Parts: sequence; C-alpha cells; structure tokens
Amino acid sequence: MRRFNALTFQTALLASSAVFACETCRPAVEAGIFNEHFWGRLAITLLPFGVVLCVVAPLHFLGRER
Amino acid sequence: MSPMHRGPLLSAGVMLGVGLGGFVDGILLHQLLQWHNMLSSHLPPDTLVNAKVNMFWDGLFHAFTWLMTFSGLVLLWRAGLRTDVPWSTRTFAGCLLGGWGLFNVVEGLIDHQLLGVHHVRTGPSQTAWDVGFLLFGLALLLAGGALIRAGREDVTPRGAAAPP
Repeated sequence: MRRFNALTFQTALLASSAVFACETCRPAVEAGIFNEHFWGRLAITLLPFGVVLCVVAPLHFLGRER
Repeated sequence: MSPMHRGPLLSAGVMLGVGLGGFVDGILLHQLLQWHNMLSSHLPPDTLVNAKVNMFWDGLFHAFTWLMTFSGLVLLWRAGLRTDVPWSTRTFAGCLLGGWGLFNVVEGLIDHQLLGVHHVRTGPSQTAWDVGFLLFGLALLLAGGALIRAGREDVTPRGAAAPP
C-alpha cells in the first residue's frame, strides 16, 4: 500500500505542468541569452575579473625584499 | 643570502580571496537569499524565462569565479615549491581577506555603481545596501592590509617553517 501511494504521488508529480515548464520555455530562454546583448553582457560579467587581474598581476612581481 | 620574494604568495592569496569572496556573493546573495542576480536590474527575474536567463549569467559568473580560485591554488602550489618565498600565515590570511575586499570593491563599483546591472538588494534602500557592501569591502581590505604588513616579519620559506 505504501509503495502504491509513493508511486501514485510520483506519477502525480510527473504529470504536473511544472515538469514540462522547461520544455516549453527553452526556446524563449535561449533567445533571451543568445541575442544582440550577448557580447555586451559577457563583457559586463568579465569586466570585474579583468580589473582584479590587472591588480593581481603586478603583485606577483612586486614584494621583493632583502 | 638570496633575496626573498613575497609576490608569489601575495598573488596566490589575493586570487584565492577574490575567488572565495566571489563565491560568497554568488552562493549567499544570488542563490540562498536571492537578493539579486547578475542582470536583475536589466532583466528582473519576475518570469520563469527571465529567471532562467539570469541563471545562465549567474552560472558564467560562477565559472569565472571558479577559474580565479583554481588559478589561486596553482599559484599557491608554485609558491610553496620555491625556497625564496617566505611562508607566512599572516601574509596569506591577509591576502585572503584583502582579495575578498578587492572583489567587493571592484564588483560593487563596476556592477552596482557604474553599470547598475544589479544592486545588492533592490528596493527603496538599495543605495544603503550598495554603500554597505562597498564599506564592508573596504574594511576587509584594511584588515587584510594590516595582516600583510604584520607578515613582513615572517621570512622563513615553506620547508623550514613547518614544525619537525
């Protein structure tokens, strides 16, 4: 009985609309990522890391003592 | 006696601090608290599609953060192999704090203030949260700097620093 209940619950979950949400929205998500803003957004995401690297690189060669 | 070079330990620690600080931002503020996402000011995550597009850019942010952390590990390993790099806990801990602070200041200035792609916590008090984030970063930089300065006294390289 317990096994039956678990199976019923699992089936009900899999039949729910939320499970299929990804399938229906995937083209819209891909269109939202790979559009005319892609390269600009990539640059925005990368920019802080580039600035940090510009600070860290000289540090590597500095700090020479004695 | 050959000259000592603190640079390799400094760069390794700062890279690791930046990476770990980036993970604090991504895991705590993006995922657990869900206060913001990478592009949440341009693309509010109020629909499933917008949330998933933000998730993609959060993923890229985490990928770059992972690369910084990995690079820090490589630099630390290489520094540990050198006999001219003083192995200082104070220097390393200071660099970790300083790196975290550097991440907060750079990311806060560029993403929050300059570009406005997201704010720490969007809402009527967003400026206060953004300024608080920057001040926290500055405090970390100061604390890290103090530890790094204290670590100048440590001059023993790695092999000799370990207890027998």
